[in-house]
Amino acid sequence: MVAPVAVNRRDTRRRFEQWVRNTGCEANLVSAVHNIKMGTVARVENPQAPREGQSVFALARGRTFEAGLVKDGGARLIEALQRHEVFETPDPGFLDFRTTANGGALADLDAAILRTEAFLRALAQDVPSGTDPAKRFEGVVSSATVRIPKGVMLPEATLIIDAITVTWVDNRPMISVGEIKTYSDRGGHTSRGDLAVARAQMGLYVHALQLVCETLGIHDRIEVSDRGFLVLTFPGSNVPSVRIGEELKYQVERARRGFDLLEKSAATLPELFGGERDGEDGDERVDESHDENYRDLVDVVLKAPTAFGDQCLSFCERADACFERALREGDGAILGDDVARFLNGLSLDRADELMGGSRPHSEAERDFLRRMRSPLDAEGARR
Amino acid sequence: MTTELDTTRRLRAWHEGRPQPRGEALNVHVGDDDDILCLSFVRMGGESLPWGVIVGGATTPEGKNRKPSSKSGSTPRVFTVPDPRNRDLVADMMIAVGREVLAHFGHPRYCPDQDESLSVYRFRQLWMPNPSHLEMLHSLAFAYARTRWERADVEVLRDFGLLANCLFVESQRPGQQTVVVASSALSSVYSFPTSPVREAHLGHQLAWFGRERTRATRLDAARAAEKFPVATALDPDFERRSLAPLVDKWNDAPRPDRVRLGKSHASAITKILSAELERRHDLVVDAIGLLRRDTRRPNSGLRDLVRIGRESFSKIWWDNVLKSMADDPDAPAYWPGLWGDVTAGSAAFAYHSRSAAAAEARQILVHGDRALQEEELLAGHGLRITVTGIAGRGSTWNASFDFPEIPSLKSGGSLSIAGAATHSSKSSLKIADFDLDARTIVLQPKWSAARSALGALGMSSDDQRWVGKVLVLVDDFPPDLTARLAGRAAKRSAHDFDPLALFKRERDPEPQEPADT
Ligand code: SF4
Repeated sequence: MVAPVAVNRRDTRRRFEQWVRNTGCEANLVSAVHNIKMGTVARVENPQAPREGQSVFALARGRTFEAGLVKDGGARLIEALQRHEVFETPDPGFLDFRTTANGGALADLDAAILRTEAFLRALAQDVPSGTDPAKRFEGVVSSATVRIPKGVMLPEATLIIDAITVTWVDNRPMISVGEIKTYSDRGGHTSRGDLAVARAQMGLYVHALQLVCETLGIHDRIEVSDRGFLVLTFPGSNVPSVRIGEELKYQVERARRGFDLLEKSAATLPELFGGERDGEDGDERVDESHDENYRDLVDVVLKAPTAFGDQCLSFCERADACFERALREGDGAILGDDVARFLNGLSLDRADELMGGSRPHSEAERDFLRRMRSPLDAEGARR
Repeated sequence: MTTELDTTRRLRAWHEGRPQPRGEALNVHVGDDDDILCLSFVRMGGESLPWGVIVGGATTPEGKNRKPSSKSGSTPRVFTVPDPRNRDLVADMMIAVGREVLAHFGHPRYCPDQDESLSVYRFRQLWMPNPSHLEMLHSLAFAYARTRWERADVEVLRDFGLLANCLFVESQRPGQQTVVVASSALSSVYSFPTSPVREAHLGHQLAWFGRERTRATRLDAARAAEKFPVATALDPDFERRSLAPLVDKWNDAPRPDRVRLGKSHASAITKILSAELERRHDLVVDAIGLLRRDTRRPNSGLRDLVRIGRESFSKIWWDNVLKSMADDPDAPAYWPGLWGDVTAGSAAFAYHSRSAAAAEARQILVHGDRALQEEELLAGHGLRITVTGIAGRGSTWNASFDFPEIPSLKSGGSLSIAGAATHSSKSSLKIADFDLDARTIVLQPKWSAARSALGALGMSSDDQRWVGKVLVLVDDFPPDLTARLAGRAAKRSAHDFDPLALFKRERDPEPQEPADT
């Protein structure tokens, strides 16, 4: 029997995105819900498993770039946003909710969450007196931190939002979320994959902010915009390049549905947690192998059913082992998701035999051979 | 349907245990040694400009019978910097690289021997391992094409930035043969027994052609090859273990003394990066060698694609180079923009232009490869007929059709006989009438006399030997129709779009100052 272990309530975004990449894999679900790092599982399975993780230089550059944007009262970030006429006031404000771990002044994430909630309440209270533009806050908040107050297996999810802007529309505060990335803005040729990831993150933040405003009972006084902004870099420099008006409607919906589905899926898992166990956002190299409960959980992931697919190659450190397993089991997914669909339940090994001339034994096998023939050869005249 | 065709081809390749030829002909142009320059990059994680570059010809590298080619001495040249966050060092490196690439493309300023009176662009090719290297070219364009940096040799940086942008713009035009991404070239020529996601890895692709004896061992080799990155980014773990300590040590010295004091660290970094770069370069050279050894004939349409490519690249790059050098205020250069399709009008224009280019490339290649004809037919871009009768001295053909089940036909539309085309003529037929229930069609040949250049399919339109023949007809629409549509779409857009805006200098808020992070 596995001893109860806490759900890690931090780094929710990474875990959510991990789960979204392969929702059909139960091992992935357990790993995401219980924050059991797949890298650890992969290395228990195979000590030589490749390490994913980010470049140390990229991480350092990300930190330097973000720090440069928010230093001196967020001067650089505000200036970049002002170039797009985001604010009406000529002198936008700046609030910094970063924790000491991230170069800020707040003690920890709990302090950041309290400050963010207090800020949102104050913003909502500004509404009645919102007619005095001189008094109300308009500007940028760095590292607003929210806790999603719902869920079954993820009872509290903590998200740190790179930047939000507050502007006023019809005397009502409007919050737009922003994501800071170091990759270069190459106009219409900016990496679609990178943009999709950043937009998905922003969609999640919008969803989280909406939930928090609802819980605080201020959702009718604050508008969380479904348009966000990206802060990228000009190629070859650290000069920020801002893209405003990023449409996030579908990403917000994806986050909403994703969380619902994650909760439902998580509810089917055995109860494995009880106490508290915290980690830091983005901290992927914590060695928890000394933790007996953690090792038990690793075992649970190892024993959970897997569902190998194309997407595994791009994110999961167990991809090699799962590929081997799929290969042994004759799963057509090793040749691509489309092959798995095409085989329609037939094993790749059997398909191989049929292509080699073996007699079909079932309607499914005859159907496979029919579909393997080119429709051009199937009937009609020949050239 | 083409997707399903890809799926069945992949399954067949799996059954055979090795890559299978895709098509009867090679549909990628592989230039001569003198035409080809191979270019690969590596970059530091998080950076968008190179940490190292390798430039070389298409011949087999040393160690594997490396021999100098006729192209610029052509043992590959490696360029690196100890820390790519130092913009000055990167610029110095790119000036050296830029000179080589500009010379390859025949820029008069960098080819002292060239007879300037010729003033003609000669077709050249640039080969790169995978799409991330192409993206690097675009980043270099952003960094240098419009630079106002005041430093020595800045015009080399600018010339190179402009060339890089033109190459990137040309690479987006369907059917172009100037910039070749080796992994995409192999995918278009072979069906691999592997997931399409893995096909993006050039090393994985090439390993399938190795000497291993069984499918299992070839698969093992392909998976092992995959462990070594081919993209511009390095393996993060490798970068952390092997390079980060050296870069830290190089940076330990005070900034003004780094280059002088950090020589040993710099050469250690160069050694590591060189191995990474050479691996990428060797893979490109291997891919070129593989395609050259392929016994299939090149598609006859490639000649036309190369000609169109030469004209296209001459227009966007060469003509502007000459104009810049002439410095005539009445005939200024109009360089392509950096940002892509930034307005609704330009996006509409670009969309239709690319559709036109894609249709044109398809039309040009389809006649030279029966497998492509099959793809066209399965994608609903054609018809398979049996000629049942000839009337009006060859002015009308009656035919029945058996594929596809529900064709998309239009009276007055035009189809051409697949395989019956040279670069100057083809056998087109106008659709006069059709009956979908009876599955019959009446066609009017647009030629009458026999044409020997078209071989067995070059008979006169009234030749009775056509009767009983089964023919594949492919859609035959003039690509300039789509090109004209591009202009019209641009004009009708809410934005008063001038296609020339695409070629005007942009005023971007550009970062120009060399600044370390
Ligand atoms: S690699 Fe394996 S464990 Fe990871 S998501 Fe895929 S199937 Fe699940």
